[in-house]
Amino acid sequence: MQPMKPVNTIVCAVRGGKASEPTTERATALARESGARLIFLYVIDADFLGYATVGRPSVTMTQLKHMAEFILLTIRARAEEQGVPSDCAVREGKVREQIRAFVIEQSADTVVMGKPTRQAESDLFTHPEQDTFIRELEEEIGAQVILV
Amino acid sequence: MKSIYRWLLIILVVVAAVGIWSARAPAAGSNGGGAVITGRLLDPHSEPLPKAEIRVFQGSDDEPLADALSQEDGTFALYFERPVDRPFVIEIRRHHFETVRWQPTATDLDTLQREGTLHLPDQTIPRTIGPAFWIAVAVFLGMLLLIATEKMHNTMAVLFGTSIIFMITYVGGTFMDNLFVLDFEEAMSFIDWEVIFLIMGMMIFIAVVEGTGIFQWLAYFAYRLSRGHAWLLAIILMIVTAVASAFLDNITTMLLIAPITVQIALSMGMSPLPLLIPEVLASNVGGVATLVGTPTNILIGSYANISFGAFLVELTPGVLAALIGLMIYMELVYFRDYRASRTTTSSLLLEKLAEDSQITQPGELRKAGWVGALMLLFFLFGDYFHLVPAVTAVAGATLLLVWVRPNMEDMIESVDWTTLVFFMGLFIVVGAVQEVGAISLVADLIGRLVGDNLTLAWIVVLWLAAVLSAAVDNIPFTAAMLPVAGFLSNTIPGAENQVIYFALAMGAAFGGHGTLIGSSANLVTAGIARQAGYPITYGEFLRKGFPALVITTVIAMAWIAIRF
Repeated sequence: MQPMKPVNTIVCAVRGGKASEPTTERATALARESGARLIFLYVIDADFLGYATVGRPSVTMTQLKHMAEFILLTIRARAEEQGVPSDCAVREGKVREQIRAFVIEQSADTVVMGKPTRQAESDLFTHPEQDTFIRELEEEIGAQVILV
Repeated sequence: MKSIYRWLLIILVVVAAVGIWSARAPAAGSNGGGAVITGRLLDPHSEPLPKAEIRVFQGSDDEPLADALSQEDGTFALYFERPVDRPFVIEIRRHHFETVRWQPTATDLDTLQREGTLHLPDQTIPRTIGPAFWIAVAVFLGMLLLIATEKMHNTMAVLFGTSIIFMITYVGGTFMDNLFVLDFEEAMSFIDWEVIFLIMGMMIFIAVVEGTGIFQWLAYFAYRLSRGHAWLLAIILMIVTAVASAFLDNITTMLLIAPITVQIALSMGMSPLPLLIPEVLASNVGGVATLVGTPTNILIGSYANISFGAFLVELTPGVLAALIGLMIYMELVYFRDYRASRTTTSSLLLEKLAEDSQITQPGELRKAGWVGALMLLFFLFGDYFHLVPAVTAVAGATLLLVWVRPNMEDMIESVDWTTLVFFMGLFIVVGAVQEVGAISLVADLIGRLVGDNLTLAWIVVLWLAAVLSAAVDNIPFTAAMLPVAGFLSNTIPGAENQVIYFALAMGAAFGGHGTLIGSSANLVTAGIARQAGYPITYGEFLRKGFPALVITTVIAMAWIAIRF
């Protein structure tokens, strides 16, 4: 899907892994073409810690934050290799809410994210959930969404 | 608001504990100067039968001539206010058992009149199966299903089960006696407070240790030691995880080591799964080596009175052998991934790795080391002081808190009260199943299957535990199996060496390899892997884990055969 509006700030929501590579490549290419500011966003959703009923949550979250920062570092390094400088951010909470809040915070006009793959273990959203989210971003916030 | 609920829970625990200590068995009866009849009641497994009502009736009188309650050892004493000169009937009544009526012979009556006392032969009271039996079994199985399918948090599931049992007992039991399952006082007697306090003490100790950064430092140290060779790194990480899990719970171990493992794997240009899956399997293995390594070992150790030292001596060599077998298997499974990885990484990533692997609280770590060593000594030699492990754990945790002086709100938060409540509720639900005789039925079934063959018995227990623990939560499974193991240990010649309990310990732990839901550490690791964009599917884990279950359980079988 080609961007219809000028691109000034791109937020690329990533999680790491092979599945995120096409998404980050697309965001990097778009930033290179448009000269826009590129920010990689990683959201830590610690709901899975419901299984882990021991330990100090603060210590666990610190470790997850370090892991997120490292993942973003590798992604930024790949973007740098293609001559595209980038920023990164780590947020904690529900993925949808945090992406939305970050897009508003950064006044981003473009959001790049991956499509659901129909594998429940990989996907953050199902198709219907993502459709609703995209509508929210495009209509309420005015950001264009590029699905990869 | 959360803090208020937490303190309310603490108060509830203390009140319940005081309630148990202050509960006294009713007096056996008063000596009115007349005759005395004594005896002992047993269940069909020749175990003492406490809390049975024994009443003596004469003729068509509704009022008993004497009554008593059997004690914990099954004995009872009936005191008569005046000499007994006419025939009478002794009625023995207990929930979930048949009502038995016993009539003395003429000789018995004569002895009683002449000597004023009569000692009856041991009476075995048969069990009876009624609505209460099916209710208790349905509640237990329903609870297991809710936990396995994650329809409900496990603590909520056991509390739900406990509530159903009490409501049916008190409300239903008022209208129909055969709906009586288990009353509150009996329920409290099933709670093993040693287990609760041992787990609580270790939770506090772990909470101090986990904030020091030691796990992350160890993982980074493993990376440096391996010089970036993935095959060697996997082996070192497996050793680190196994040893850590022997002393700390394996969920915390994986929570702390998995994120840094992901970072190391990414820096080597490889998927984290060839490091994460061996680590979590090794943590399931390592936990078996000591009393405090897994909740199932804590349950078994407390029930069967097996000491920390006994676990170490009897199981550690087998655990080591299983770990070696697991390492070989993992190297074979992932050798292509290890070969394809990079041995060097960029300075930027290395710098970030080193930064995230710092020991953040060296002072606390040093203090935890000293206290941990002291606790280990008392775990090993506590028997000489008649010191139970729970006291060592709580005393050690308290000493560490006093020495370290951490933020107490943080420490209170780190004690997982929901898990402690889970255990309390679990003891009650399993107690109900035991009370209605369901566990005795299972024990009889297995007993008939194995007969007097001790080898067959422990093999059956080992593999049953391994296979079922892969499918259901191993903690409720182990709690339910303990009376079965107890029955087999008491009835099969040669089982006094506790081999059946050790087989249960190994089977319940190694069963965690079999499926993703086989152990909570598996689920936590899968959650972290998914966060990093490398999801572990159920099928993927089954393909790697189930063979590991078979390999480690076969090795366990070989070790038990050699050792016992």
